[in-house]
Amino acid sequence: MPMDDKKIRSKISEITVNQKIKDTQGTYLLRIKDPFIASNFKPGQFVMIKSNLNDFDPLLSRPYSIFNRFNENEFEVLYRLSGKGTKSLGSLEKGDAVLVTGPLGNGFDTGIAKKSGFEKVKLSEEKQKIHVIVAGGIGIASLYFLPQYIFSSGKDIQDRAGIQNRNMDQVKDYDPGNKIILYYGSRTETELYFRYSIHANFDEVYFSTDDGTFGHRGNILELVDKNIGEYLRKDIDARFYSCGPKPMIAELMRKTGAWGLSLQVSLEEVFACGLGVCLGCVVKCKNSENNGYVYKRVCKDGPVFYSDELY
Amino acid sequence: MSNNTGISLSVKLGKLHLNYPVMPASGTFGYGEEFSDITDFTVFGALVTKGISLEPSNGNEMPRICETPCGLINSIGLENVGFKRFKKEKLPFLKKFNIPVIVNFFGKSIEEYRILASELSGLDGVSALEANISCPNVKEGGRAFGADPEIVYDLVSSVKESSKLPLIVKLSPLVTDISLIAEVAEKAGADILSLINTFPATHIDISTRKFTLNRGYGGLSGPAIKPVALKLVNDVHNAVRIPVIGMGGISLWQDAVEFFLAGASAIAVGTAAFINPNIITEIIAGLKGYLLNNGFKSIYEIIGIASAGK
Ligand SMILES: Cc1cc2nc3c(=O)[nH]c(=O)nc-3n(C[C@H](O)[C@H](O)[C@H](O)COP(=O)(O)OP(=O)(O)OC[C@H]3O[C@@H](n4cnc5c(N)ncnc54)[C@H](O)[C@@H]3O)c2cc1C
Ligand SMILES: Cc1cc2nc3c(=O)[nH]c(=O)nc-3n(C[C@H](O)[C@H](O)[C@H](O)COP(=O)(O)O)c2cc1C
Ligand code: FES
Repeated sequence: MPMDDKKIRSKISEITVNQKIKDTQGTYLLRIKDPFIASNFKPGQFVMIKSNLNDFDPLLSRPYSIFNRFNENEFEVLYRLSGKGTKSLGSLEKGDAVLVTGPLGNGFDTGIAKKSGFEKVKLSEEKQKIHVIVAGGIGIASLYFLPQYIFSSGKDIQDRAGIQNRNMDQVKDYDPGNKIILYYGSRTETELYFRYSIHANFDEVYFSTDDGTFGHRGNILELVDKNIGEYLRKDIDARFYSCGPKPMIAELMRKTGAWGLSLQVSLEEVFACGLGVCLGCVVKCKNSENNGYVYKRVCKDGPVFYSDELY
Repeated sequence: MSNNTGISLSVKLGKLHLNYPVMPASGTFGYGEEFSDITDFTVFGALVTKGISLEPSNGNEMPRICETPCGLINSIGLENVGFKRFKKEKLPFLKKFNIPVIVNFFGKSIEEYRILASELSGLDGVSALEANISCPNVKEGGRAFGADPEIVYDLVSSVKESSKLPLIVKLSPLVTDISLIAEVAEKAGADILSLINTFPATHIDISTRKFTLNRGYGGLSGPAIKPVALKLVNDVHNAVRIPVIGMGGISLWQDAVEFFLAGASAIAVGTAAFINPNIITEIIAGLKGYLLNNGFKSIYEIIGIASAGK
């Protein structure tokens, strides 16, 4: 089989931008030249990046969500300095090379609504659709591209170059029913990335910080609570997407479960391979046999799961 | 050979014929499906499965992996789909490539090894068996099968009685005298030996004062174990007449050359493929280049030729 048949590519690619984002504590925007990944990913998918090509410490590649498609040749990653892997990535410059494998994982499902139970239901044609995106801190990285993807119905995004720069007014008539809402919370103002520009992609945006330095003071889910009446209306088809800290995800799962609304969450685990072969990243999922659960791989069967699949 | 350098990389491991002397290590390649989406198997000497047991196994609770300097500790707990699902869902895919399929397997007792070996031998598309003898022997209080020469002898001879397929015995590095274990396995009928399996190892989180892995410990792989693995491969090569498949931390083609020089007739790559899924293809290219540049025509010319002294 020629290489061109492969769904996933692994190759050394060039960094075109690696810049600390202003007003943040060590959060970087990384842009990589890789036409295959730039034109073939879905939001929620990720790449494995090995930044130190000439030594073995850190040994493993690290997973990063594909944050944005910059153009048909380049995609972007948002990362926060933490340990060995991100520090090594942070030391690289424009023109340096990294080993990139991707796109990996399943990504968000934007086309089919899933209510309680396991049957998949087509999004109702006559109902108004509301996509509710709930992001916590760096979790925005896997959700940022969702609006563009939803506008293009997830189809042939490569033919829609420039769509990322559309603002809401331009796309309104593209799919008039769709409404996309962002709830975005973090500990403090400097961890709310793109807080001044992110409005362009959404119909409504709500911010919160734990310390009250930007937006609502407190938990982002308190803001969701305030508007839940709208999402529960009979003529509305609302679906939730989320990525963020574990406690936020757990609380949102509890809430959407009680409301009977569909929720997809992007999970995080420590990965060794990211390819689905080592079985190092499993999560318990519901199953009628086998003591009620089966292990699924976060990297391959996820990282996005419907909340009602999780055990 | 696909190109005209005239260099031969094919090897015969007893009755097992490989076009290329490099293969994935068990447990790092799943059952082949995932890698087939990323890389071509054209220059793979064999396809090697995750360890199979008679019944499916869930494996250990999370966390299962922990990175250490130049190494990886895993405690997957031998999670696998079990014999029945392997036969029905995994083997048909592996068979498609016309590359020898090596099935890695294990049991909780010698009896289980024997039954499984006999079941696997009945399947069309299995080219060889690899017995992982580093796992706990439940009857003997959980001590690894591979640590006791008498148990190794019984295990290997009973597997040989129940299966006609070439048998690879995969040795544990955690033994006092690996040459002795290797000799015993050879005497009991092993056709090929492979080594090393991972090294028991652990990591402690000093802030929580708990072991990082849920089970407390796991097996160390990756570049950190390469020097140890190389020495053990050389010891085993010197102790037996049957061929040896060497592995443990191989991450570059230069590492592969070292293992051949130490006496391996073929090598396997595990952890390094997590980082670079094209590693086997790159190692093959590197090996060819090395042989060519040093005036060798066949991989056999460098197997076991490393010498001591000036
Ligand atoms: C699917 C997926 C997508 C991701 N996307 C992004 C992204 O877009 N941007 C980004 O900055 N990071 C992302 N991450 C996390 C990222 O891969 C790194 O794990 C993280 O940045 C820390 O790596 P490091 O090498 O700097 O730190 P390390 O040296 O590996 O670790 C520093 C500390 O953090 C802990 N740790 C490491 N990884 C995790 C984890 N995944 N969960 C909990 N604790 C952990 C370690 O145990 C250690 O205590 C993602 C992870 C996954 C699984
Ligand atoms: C995640 C993981 C799973 C493994 N599973 C198995 C297994 O099922 N059976 C087995 O015999 N060896 C298993 N091994 C051991 C490898 O086959 C190999 O012997 C070891 O990792 C050393 O090689 P490496 O350093 O190239 O990874 C596993 C190793 C890893 C890292
Ligand atoms: S990280 Fe290896 S299977 Fe998910």
